[in-house]
Amino acid sequence: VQRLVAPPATVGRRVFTNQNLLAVAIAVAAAYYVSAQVGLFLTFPPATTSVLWPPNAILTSALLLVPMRHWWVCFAAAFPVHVVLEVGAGFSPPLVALLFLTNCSEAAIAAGGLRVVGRGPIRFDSFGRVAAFIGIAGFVAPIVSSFFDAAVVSALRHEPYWDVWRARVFANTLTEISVVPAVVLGVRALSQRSLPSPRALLEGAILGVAVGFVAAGVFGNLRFADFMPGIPRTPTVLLLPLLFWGSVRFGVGGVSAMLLLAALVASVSAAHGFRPFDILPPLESLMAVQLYLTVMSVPLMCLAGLIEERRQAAAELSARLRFEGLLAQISASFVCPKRRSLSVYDECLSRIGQFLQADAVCMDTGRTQRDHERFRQWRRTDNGPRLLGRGPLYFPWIQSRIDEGQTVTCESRDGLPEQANADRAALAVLDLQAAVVVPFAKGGSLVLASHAPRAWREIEVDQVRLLAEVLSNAWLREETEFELQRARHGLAQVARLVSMGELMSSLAHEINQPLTGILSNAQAAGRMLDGAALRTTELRAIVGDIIEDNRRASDVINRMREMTARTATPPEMVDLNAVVRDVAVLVSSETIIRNVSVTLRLTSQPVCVVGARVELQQALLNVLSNAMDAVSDRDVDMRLVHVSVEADERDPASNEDVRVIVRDSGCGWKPPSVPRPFDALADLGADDHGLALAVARAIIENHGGMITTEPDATGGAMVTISLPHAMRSAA
Amino acid sequence: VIDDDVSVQRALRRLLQCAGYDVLICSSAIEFLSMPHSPRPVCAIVDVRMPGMTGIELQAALSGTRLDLPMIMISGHADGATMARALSAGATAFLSKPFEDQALLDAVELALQRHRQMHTASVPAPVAIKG
Repeated sequence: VQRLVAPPATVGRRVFTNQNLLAVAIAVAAAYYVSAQVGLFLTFPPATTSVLWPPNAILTSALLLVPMRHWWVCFAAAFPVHVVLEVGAGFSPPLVALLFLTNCSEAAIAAGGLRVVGRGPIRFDSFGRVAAFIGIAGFVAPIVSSFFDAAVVSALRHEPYWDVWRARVFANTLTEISVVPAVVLGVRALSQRSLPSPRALLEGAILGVAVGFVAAGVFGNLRFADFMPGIPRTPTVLLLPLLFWGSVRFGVGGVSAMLLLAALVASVSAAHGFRPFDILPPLESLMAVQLYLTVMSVPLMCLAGLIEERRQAAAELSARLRFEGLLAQISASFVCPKRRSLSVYDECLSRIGQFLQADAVCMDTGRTQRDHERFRQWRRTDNGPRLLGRGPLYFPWIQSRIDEGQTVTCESRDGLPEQANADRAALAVLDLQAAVVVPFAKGGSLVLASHAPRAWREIEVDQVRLLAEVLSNAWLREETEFELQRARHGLAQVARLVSMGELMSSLAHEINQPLTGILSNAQAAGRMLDGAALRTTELRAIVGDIIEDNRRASDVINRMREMTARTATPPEMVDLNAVVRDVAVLVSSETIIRNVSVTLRLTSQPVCVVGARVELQQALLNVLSNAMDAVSDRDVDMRLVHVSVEADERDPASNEDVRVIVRDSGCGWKPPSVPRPFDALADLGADDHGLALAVARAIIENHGGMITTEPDATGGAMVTISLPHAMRSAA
Repeated sequence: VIDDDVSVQRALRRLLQCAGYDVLICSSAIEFLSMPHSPRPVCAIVDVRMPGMTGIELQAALSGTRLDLPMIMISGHADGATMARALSAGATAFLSKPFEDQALLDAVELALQRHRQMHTASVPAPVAIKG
């Protein structure tokens, strides 16, 4: 798979332009400013370290959302804000600068570690990923960076090293865990415009109010114990069901957001002199709260990750089942040959487009016998992109990859390389951004395209390839059948000519008879006119005979023309009785020449099948000629061929096949030929009629029937041609 | 005239009658053999290919019998082998259908000569006449 990632500054489905980067810088600066204000508000002098310092988590979130090569934008945006606020708070410039460096180190360790471990954009959709996040961003990054931070503060402000380290670790662990998931998931939802439903928003609001209220009761001045006797003075356990609610209903982001809310309430309460644990000093009490919230959040976030993992597994299973259903539907479309037409392909493309949520789907069947049918397409809307009529040359670079058998996945046309300028321009003209192009048989391809940039998931690409394989196989099979049919046609034509060659002597006889009548009658008439007595009545009779003979000759010629016609006739209702009668007339001279007695037993009612009359005549002629050959060595009175038509006359709509049976009084099939009397290759060398019989079988099988042979009771052979009744064919 | 084709029968009958001959018509060799031969025919115009007994088989059957008579073979499918077989079996002439009236009348005249000479010593050689 050749995967064309979007241009360097790309994340997810978004393409980062300079304007995007400016927006990122502004957003980071604003968020850093607000969160730093909160952090400074929760800094209790003379301590330098805040009890809750969200800016580091904000920076971590930004680094997780922006590609590494653009991290500098985030740092550069945060730095002036950091300087202004901290200098304003009375910190010395060297301290401000060094603290910024320690903050940046925490964010870089967290974001870099998660990228390395997660091998891609951060996600919170599995137990493993959430555990990795808690471990790296929640513990490793704050702990490691706090060593430097505590060293700086201790050196420049002379505060106890381990007190600073402990306060910073507690504060930053909680903020990393509570802020990062909420910010990352929130920004991603906004960028993807996948906002929650109003009902979910209402539920979230209710949960938030409940958490705020309970947190105020637990950590603030709203003492539940004062009006609810029996409640402990610090009923921290009351938060647990609410956080559990957030975990189950809103996933990691929900827990994270509720945790942040509770931490803020606790910190603000602490800033106002309230502390939940009376026996501890205020700062110690607040750290105990942080520790409590952190410890409680870990299993809840892991639980949320686990639930999300299960939900995704269920969704993937459901999607897989739906895809299997789609595959089954598409495959079923090609099972019944009679239904096969171009509209089936159009229907399939429509299903594929809707299933994979593409804006356009195009199928290029490659080099084909049916060039006018080469391109098929489906568009979501009538004014959607038009892919047809351009041909593969319109996307030369992509087509060259397809010709090499590669699958091309393009997330954004801007991600195409320099050599693909023509392809990029073509996509722009078609108003397309993303496409996945899968090779088809014979240089063709299946294309899925969308107006918006789109990161094709691996599973989607695999699905497109599988679908392309199904369509490609169906098309190839049709091509093969098309070729086979042409070959059969050619073979039938050759066989007809061979048959005509063999019948030529009898046909010459048939034509010469009326010609003799015409000539002799005309000459007799001439003699009469030269004679003395003009016999008008006799002359009229002569003219009548001439006309009749002329018609006879014309009929013979017409029959020859029909048999040698190259054009395929469309299927029609054909009465097998008529077919037998026509063939009997055709071989009548031959029967005289060979002294073969051909008897017919036809049905009183028409026995109809759907098919090409001339082809059916050809098949019967071949079988009948073979039967006449078989009896030609017998004594004259033993040269018997019997042709009968059989059908269930009482029930014309019966499911039973209708049959034409040809019995001969020959010596039967020779043993080696019995299993394959209709195999052209098997019999051609030994028997001139091998080809003719193979053609007969091909014709009958093409009509949905079959030819069987068995020894006749008289010692000869019995060939049975079975065909589906017209009523059944119509059904 | 022995021919299974009714149209040919009628046409030849008319032609020969115009030339002044009396004509008997038979649809098959079997019919000819079973009919009363009175007056006795002096020449037979026989189609080579007929259901049942062919013209050549008829010629062989009559050869040396009291019904032996000069025969003119006519055929709609005149291949060399058939013609050679007919002539070697004693046919007076072999005409390929369709043939010119004069060719037939010449052949008839030749057959009549032959009939006349059958009762004398010399017999003229058979000829093949292309119609």
